[in-house]
Amino acid sequence: MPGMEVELSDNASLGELLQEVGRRVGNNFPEWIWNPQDRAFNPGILVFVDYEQVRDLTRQLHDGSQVFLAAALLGG
Amino acid sequence: MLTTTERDRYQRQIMMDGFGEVGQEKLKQAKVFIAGAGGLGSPVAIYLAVAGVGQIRIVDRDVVELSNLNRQILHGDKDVDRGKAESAGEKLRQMNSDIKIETIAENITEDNIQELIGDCQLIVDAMDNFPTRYLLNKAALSRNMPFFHGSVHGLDGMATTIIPGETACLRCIFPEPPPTAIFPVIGVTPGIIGIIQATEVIKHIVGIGELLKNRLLVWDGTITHFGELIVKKDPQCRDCGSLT
Repeated sequence: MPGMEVELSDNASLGELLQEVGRRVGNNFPEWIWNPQDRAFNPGILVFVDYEQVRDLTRQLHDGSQVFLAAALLGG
Repeated sequence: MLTTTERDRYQRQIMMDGFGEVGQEKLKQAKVFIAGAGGLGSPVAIYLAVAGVGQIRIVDRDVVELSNLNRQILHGDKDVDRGKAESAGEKLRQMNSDIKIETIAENITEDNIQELIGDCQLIVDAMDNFPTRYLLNKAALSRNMPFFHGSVHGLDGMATTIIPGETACLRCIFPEPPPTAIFPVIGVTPGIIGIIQATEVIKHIVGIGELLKNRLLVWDGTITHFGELIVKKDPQCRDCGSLT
């Protein structure tokens, strides 16, 4: 699955990472994933840090943190 | 008490460590609610039926369409324009005439969901939309009933097992639904995810193994890889946050 490495300042937060990712590639996503007006990922997008679900965007990241974004799948 | 025929029929699973006749009897006494007789519902229902789940109730209001047949393996060419629930019931009874199959051709709504679930002991999510999934989630929470979620798209799939009071609920994990759309899917994907759901159901009923509790299994068929993410109960969850 696609991924990217992002360099941020020390003690950067998850929110800052998502902003940076959105800045770089947000416009490649449909609006239900990335909201260009709010410049934010929509609340339905799941965020995982080092394989654990995180909702607090102030969470500090560390060097090597792996952040995974996922969306619910519709079909059945 | 198992009959001689049942001991023969289920011999190969009865002989598994930790399963035994006790496990088979548990399956025989179980009553399972499957919401949907489509891509996921087909493999779930098939494998629960052949495993000997005593009572299976399948609810689906849809009619079989030609475009369903690449993945909805309980239905074939001759079932086009036929009700899915009825079509599914016929095939399942042919696979296992020793169990009870109930089929209901109704839309699942807030008004009828409790009646539809009735005295079933657990819920399998084989739906294709999130509004109904959320209804099933709330019903499971209200009844303290295990809820087995599955979902697919293309070559991707997800599954998790929700135990009210113990795990994140569906709304904790997916607070907002994806947009409604005709989704791409190849049959092998719901085949895999449906079988995982059936595996979870069997393990739960028999009481063996470990369930996907607070674990979101993520299948990527493009690279043939299973991944696992840890999901967490949301104290602010609008569906379970107020429940203790």
